[in-house]
Amino acid sequence: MLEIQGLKKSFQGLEILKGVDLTIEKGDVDVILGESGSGKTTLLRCIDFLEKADEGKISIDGITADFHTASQKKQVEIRRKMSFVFQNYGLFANKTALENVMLGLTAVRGVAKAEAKERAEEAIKKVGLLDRADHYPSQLSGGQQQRIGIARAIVTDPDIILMDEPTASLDPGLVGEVLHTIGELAAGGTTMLIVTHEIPFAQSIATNMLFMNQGVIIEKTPTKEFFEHPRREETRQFLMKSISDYSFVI
Amino acid sequence: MLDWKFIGNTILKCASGIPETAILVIVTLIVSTPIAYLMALVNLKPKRILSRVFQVYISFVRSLPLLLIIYLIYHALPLWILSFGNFIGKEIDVYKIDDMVYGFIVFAFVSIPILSEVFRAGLLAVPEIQIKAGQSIGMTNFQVARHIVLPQVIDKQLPMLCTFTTNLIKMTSLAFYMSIREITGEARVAAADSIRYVECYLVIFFMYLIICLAVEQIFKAFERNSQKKKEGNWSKNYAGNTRTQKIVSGT
Repeated sequence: MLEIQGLKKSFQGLEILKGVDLTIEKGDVDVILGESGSGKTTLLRCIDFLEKADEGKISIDGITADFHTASQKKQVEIRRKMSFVFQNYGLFANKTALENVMLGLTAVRGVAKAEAKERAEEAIKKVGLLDRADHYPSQLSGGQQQRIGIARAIVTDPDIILMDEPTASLDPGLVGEVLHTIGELAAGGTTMLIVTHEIPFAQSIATNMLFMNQGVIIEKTPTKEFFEHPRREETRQFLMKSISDYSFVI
Repeated sequence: MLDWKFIGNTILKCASGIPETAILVIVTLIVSTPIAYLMALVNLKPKRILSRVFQVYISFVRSLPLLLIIYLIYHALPLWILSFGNFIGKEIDVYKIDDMVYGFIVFAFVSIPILSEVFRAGLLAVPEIQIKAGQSIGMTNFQVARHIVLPQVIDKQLPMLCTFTTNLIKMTSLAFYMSIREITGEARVAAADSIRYVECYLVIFFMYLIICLAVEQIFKAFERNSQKKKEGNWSKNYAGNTRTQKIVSGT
């Protein structure tokens, strides 16, 4: 459903993405693992046109575009098929939680206010924060802000949700609630592409595991197989470093 | 001592200049605000050629006294228009141009750089991630500006905009030098007619004071409103929590 081909991106001459190919099927939850600096975040941002890629093709739900030549209009059109959950939440500070969630419906998709409110409340209910709906982001904890961020992402019913380390800037005590919310989405059949360092969590929800190394995805394997028989040496090294009692069978 | 009847008459005379002052201020604000905002957007990337031009303009206006700018525009601009008319082979009657038009040009000319710096500071204070987030939910750049950026810029810069607006009101007192009969103009005429300078200037002293205080109160009301919007929810939902209440109320 989402297909990326030959995605390349450099920052000041330093090549971060060296030709990423990626396919995600409807209903899959794919998790990207990889060292810091391997380009995971840049990959997600490029897919959503938040960062302008230098080369590559995207195709989602019948729309095809080149990353580097897509017109503003096309970019917006493609973005409306996706949602993004940011590491630092990125809630609109001038809007309440409810308004944050509604905005994608009212301003972007022209949904009538009453209907938008209903749908937004439903989304906020899913993340369990209906009692905080009239709060401003500054009045919410990090975990609550991120759950509102997730509500904002699901309310538009996107084809896919991209999540960029959704728990990385949370206090350890708040990580659980956000992972729980994401877990429920996965169980509900939402298509997601997630970058995370929460390996046990990834293991529990992912359909496929992707391993990224130095700007390329070097491995895409169904989750169980990924952990039991990782194909690449780099993956094994990474998993051994990351999981204390890790062992695998070749 | 003070002649109260004369003062009463002068108040009425000077008050007849209030519409001119108001029109000067309002038109200047309406014309300058969008231009200044666009200029601030351009100036966010100072390496652009256009931005360098704007920076020269900003420094230029900063370094010149307003009175000098008024003299130059009021006296030189008609000549330029005349010679431009000759150049394109058309006779333009510059004496038909209303003095107010020169007023708008002068005050917009000096307001745009100030306002654009106010907006630029406000734009810098809006975290980039919120702009990205706006784009990520499918907003066009215009929608991001309208729903996310602009409200926050104005919210954050309300105190600066208040200072600017009151300054502008005071600046218009120099419009007298362009033969515009606004508040100060009326006062000077009244003073010259009667040779009672003290009374006349005392009258507009209070007039400016009242107008500027009123404008200040309007801006403060906006500020309180945006504050209350945020704190209202807070205290309502945390009402049961005495510790939070203490922290909020500072006791």
